[in-house]
Amino acid sequence: MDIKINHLFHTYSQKTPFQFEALNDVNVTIKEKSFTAIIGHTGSGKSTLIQHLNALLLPTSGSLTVNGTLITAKQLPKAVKKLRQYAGLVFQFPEYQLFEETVEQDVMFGPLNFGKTKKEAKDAALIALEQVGLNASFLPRSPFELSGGERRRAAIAGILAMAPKVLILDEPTAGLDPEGASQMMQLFQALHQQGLTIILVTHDMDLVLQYATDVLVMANGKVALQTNPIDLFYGQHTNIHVEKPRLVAFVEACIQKGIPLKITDCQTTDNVFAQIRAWQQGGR
Amino acid sequence: MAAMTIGRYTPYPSFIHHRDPRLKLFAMVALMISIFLRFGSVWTDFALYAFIFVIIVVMMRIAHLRLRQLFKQLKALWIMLVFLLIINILIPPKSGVVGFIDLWGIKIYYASLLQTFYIVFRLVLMIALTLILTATTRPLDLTYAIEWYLLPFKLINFPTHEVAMTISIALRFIPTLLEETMRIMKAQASRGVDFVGGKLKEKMRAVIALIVPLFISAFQRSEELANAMEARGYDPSAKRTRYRQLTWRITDSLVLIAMVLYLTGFLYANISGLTLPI
Repeated sequence: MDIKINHLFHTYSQKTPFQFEALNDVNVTIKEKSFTAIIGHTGSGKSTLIQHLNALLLPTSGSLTVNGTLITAKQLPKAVKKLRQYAGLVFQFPEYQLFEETVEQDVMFGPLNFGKTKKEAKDAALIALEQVGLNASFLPRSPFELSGGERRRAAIAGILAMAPKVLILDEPTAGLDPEGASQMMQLFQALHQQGLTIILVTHDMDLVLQYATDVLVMANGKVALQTNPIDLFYGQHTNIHVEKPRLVAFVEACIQKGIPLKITDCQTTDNVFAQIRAWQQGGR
Repeated sequence: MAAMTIGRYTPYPSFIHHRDPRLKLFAMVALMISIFLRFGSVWTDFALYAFIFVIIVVMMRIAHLRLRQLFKQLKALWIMLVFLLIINILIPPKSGVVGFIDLWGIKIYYASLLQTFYIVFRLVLMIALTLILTATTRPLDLTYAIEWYLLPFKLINFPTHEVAMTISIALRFIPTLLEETMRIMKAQASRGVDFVGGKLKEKMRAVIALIVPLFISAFQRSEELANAMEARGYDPSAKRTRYRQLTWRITDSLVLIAMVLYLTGFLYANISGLTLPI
């Protein structure tokens, strides 16, 4: 089911000198099974927005519907547990949420909270850890003796084990080495292909171009633009300033040199190279 | 969660905000002493408590604090108050005290009830005072004031600067750790932890899921801070200058005189056993 956000406002520390309007009339629909990237400057309201999706924050006014559950300003919806299981949220630097004695127990923590039996949780943990690239040898180890990257993976496995239908990720690749980041993104892409809705908050435009199917551009607490990555990076948007991905700069340079590239098929490096190769073989 | 922000420094351009922190610290101690004094009769005590309470309410008004904030703070303490009441009832007062209510065979002396009232009043007034102090004074200014008062102890080689630095770091990290707490609570809530409801066993698990990561990040932060300070050549024994200077104004002197008069008045009334004709 699509996520519908309707006139959403959120104000922090209302009626104090610290008052801050983080979201200002957000109206947007996030399609089911999409890979939606949310981009925008620091303080544009991205993190506030995603925390509404599993009712960690309640709107100051307005409403949103996630999996048929209506979230309004008044009170926590009754189905809040179901909602949090449906929409799994991975915070920035999730490795700070680890606390159990072993990796296995930590990954089992989520499923157990959502009412799974020990056996089910154990199986889910094993699968989730394998998905993030940690094999069975990690199960009995303490999360605190892992490296930073491994801890991040274990923490993400903790959310995956809950079997969410919507996976919300806040800068999951921040601070990872390029190889680790790429593996992580490939995992999310695979999950997307399995039918999960992925919502990715990021500052990395290369990732947006390569993986996303939809983009939300946030600015000053509003949705400035909702579009797809091709349109965002190759189209003309004078009011929005985004750093162009390296691939876009390359493609634009190619077109200037007279290589006819089809822009709608320029989302990944492989596609662009395939086009160039085809042009080289056919053109001469 | 919003209750955590109570007592946090809020920048208003009020008379109390503008006073020198050294003065505010002195005034708070003076007011606290006046709260703990006892006078000729019970009624005099309570009349003077009412008087102090009026002063505090006026101060809160000036400082843009609402009484509601005070009561919110007290809500967290009611269990302690009930506990105090029970203890006071269970401990029999000195022999020779008369007057009690017989409640199913348990003797509840009027004197124990009275004792509880004293503690409750004092607690409320003291919390109100600290609320005013912390809401109107920047934590750093407060440390400067403490350091200033500790200066005489330098003569006996007391490490004033180190103590002040420790206090200021501790104060500085309160909001950071609160933020961290919220962050971890949200992260664990996303994993299905219910911090509000749930049975006792679930609640204990919820607390563990919060405290363990919090401690780990606090230790990590302190290590990072220590390294950063060392990397920048921090030497606790070196002479330091500071960016913010405390400035004592004439108004501060006037308030100081008023506070000294207030304190001497109360001390005199205490020694002479003042009894109001009520």
